[in-house]
Amino acid sequence: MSLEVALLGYAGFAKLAQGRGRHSRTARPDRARARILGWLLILGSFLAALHRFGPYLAVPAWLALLSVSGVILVLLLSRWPMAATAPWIPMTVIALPLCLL
Amino acid sequence: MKGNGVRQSMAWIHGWLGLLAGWILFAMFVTGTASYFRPEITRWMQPEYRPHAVPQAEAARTAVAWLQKNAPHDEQWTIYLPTERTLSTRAFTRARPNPDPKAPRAPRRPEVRLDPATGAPIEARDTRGGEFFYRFHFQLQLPHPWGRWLAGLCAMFMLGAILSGVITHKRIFADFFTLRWSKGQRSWLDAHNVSAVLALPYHAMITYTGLITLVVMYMPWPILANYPKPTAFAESLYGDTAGQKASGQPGRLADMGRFVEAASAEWQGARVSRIIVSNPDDASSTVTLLRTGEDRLNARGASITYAGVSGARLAVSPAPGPAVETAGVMLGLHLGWFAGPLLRWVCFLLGLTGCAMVATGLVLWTVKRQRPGAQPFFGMSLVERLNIGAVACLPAGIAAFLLANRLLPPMLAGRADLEVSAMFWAWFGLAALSLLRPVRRAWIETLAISALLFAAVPIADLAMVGAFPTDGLFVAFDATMFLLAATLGFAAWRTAVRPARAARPRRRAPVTVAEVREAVDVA
Amino acid sequence: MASAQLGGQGWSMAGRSLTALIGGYAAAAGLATLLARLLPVERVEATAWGMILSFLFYAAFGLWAFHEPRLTRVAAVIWGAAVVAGGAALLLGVRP
Repeated sequence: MSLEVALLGYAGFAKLAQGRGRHSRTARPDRARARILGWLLILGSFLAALHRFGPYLAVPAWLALLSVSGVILVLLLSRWPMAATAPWIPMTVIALPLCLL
Repeated sequence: MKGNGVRQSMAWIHGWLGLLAGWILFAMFVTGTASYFRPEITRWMQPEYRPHAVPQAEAARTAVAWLQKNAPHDEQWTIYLPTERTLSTRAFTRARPNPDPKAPRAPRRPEVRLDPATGAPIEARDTRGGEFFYRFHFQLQLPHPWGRWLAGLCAMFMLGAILSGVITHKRIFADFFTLRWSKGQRSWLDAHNVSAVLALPYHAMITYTGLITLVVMYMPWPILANYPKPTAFAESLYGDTAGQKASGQPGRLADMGRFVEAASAEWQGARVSRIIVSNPDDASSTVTLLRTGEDRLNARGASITYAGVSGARLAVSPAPGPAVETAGVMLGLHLGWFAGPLLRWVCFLLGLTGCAMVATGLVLWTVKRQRPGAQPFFGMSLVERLNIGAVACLPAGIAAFLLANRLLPPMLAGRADLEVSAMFWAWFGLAALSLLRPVRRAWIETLAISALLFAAVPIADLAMVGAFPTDGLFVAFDATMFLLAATLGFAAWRTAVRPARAARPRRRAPVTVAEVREAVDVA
Repeated sequence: MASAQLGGQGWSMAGRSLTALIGGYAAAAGLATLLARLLPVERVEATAWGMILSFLFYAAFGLWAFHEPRLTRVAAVIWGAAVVAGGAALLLGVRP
């Protein structure tokens, strides 16, 4: 399975969404930290894709999985703004061992 | 608005490009998305066919045996070997040309599907299967070549709409996660933005590579500048697959299984996708084997040509240069053969995002121009009706196609064509009936009917096949039908509850500067 | 604003659309052909580059036709590009 790419992508987008200005009561430095973590997770998902699919297939596969995880996040975010971003920790935790499989 | 000229003109052209091509683009997106599962749909539509997987070499032998019995003197055979997805051998032949030079080129004979184990034609209900969606996707069920030209024109409009949409949309990243429900026009714009922007790499890729799949038809002029004989371009791409001229001496083909094994060994175990045999009953017959594209992005695989009688290796396709490789990768990205199960589902979901992008864009065009209380002008009514006919009624047609497959008697003559008729009667019939209803009721009712028809597909499957499906493919297919039914039902429900919510006075958060700017952009 | 400017007169709109649709195709085909003929790489490669890039040319011409307000300029540039590029490709003839 290559689910870890999508999980890391979702987690990364979730952090980016938390780090966005509107709709969050988080303080500014926390938001900046969330954004940095978000980009790092997205980078992680790319590395996971590189590891899983090899250099040749990695870019299209990564973009496809990232897009779908983004669409799912936005759909959930539109209905449950808090709950949608919350599972980023378990997702990251599940994704890490999956990378090694 | 000084300095905003580009954005304004691009917003204007974006709206018109999307509108004029939108209805056909929606149908292309829907059928194209279904085509990711072309072999799976075909298998679902022939539930009585229970194939036995055999090695490729064996499938090649049985296919050749059948062709030698049924089309021994034809000019060319093309054999598609089974994969683990298709599980059947497909073959078609082309008759020897009439010696009279003025006679038209010999037509390609209809394709037969063979059981790889026995080489006999498949005994199952006659159906176009997934092939129907695939063909409709770029031929639109119109006479050749008009369907392909129209599909190409719509793809070009789509490309223009994507480029102008990106130029128009100034806050791509700020709006990245914004989707607000029940806010009228704002919600439709959000939905259009989100479905377009989040899957933008996919939309841009699928549109451009779609044009590339038929580039030789759409843009043949560069070939004429470089080749005195246009067919020479294809030969330099694929190697010379047309083969040598027939010698007139009879000859017997060597064992086809050996060719398959030899080619596969030369490709480090990669499989053969297609075999082309030229002059199969002649002493100078040739056998060309093409490598599968399922393990790499470039769909235009390498090929090896052997002498059919002696088995001598005659030629290999040249290694592609950067441009030819790029074109092959574009083709591969569009076809999606490289995608394993997970990636294929991801592609399917992205295709659905494309459907949503086109549908929300079409609805947005009308919502933007509606004035409360005003009588809709003629163009507005036309667009609204066409939107209903395309977005809400096409799914009913697809469900009817699948339902007809289960409900028509399996041995009925001409049933494959009846299935196709069922699709168009349901689609256009429902669209015509919806004209009798006021716009909003028509949306709700057609969406609900589409939902019910999709929900009926798995039920008909259970009822007619008579056993609960155990094969994963059938379970997944039926579950997908239920999910599509649920999605359409959700859309019908949302349409039904919308005005009640909009009428309720809302407490609003203080309007931010950003929202004011958005409102200005929208207007 | 732009829509009023562009959509105002029916005939100029029709001319603009035809220029974008047909002139744009002709100009893109001409440029792609010229590129394919002149690129100093292998025959098959040059042909493929021309074909791959042609749709980008077409899209650029088509969109620009609706951005530039002066119709005469749009027609002159697009039809001019079609005639010049197509004529040059025709004069050069098939690659020897």
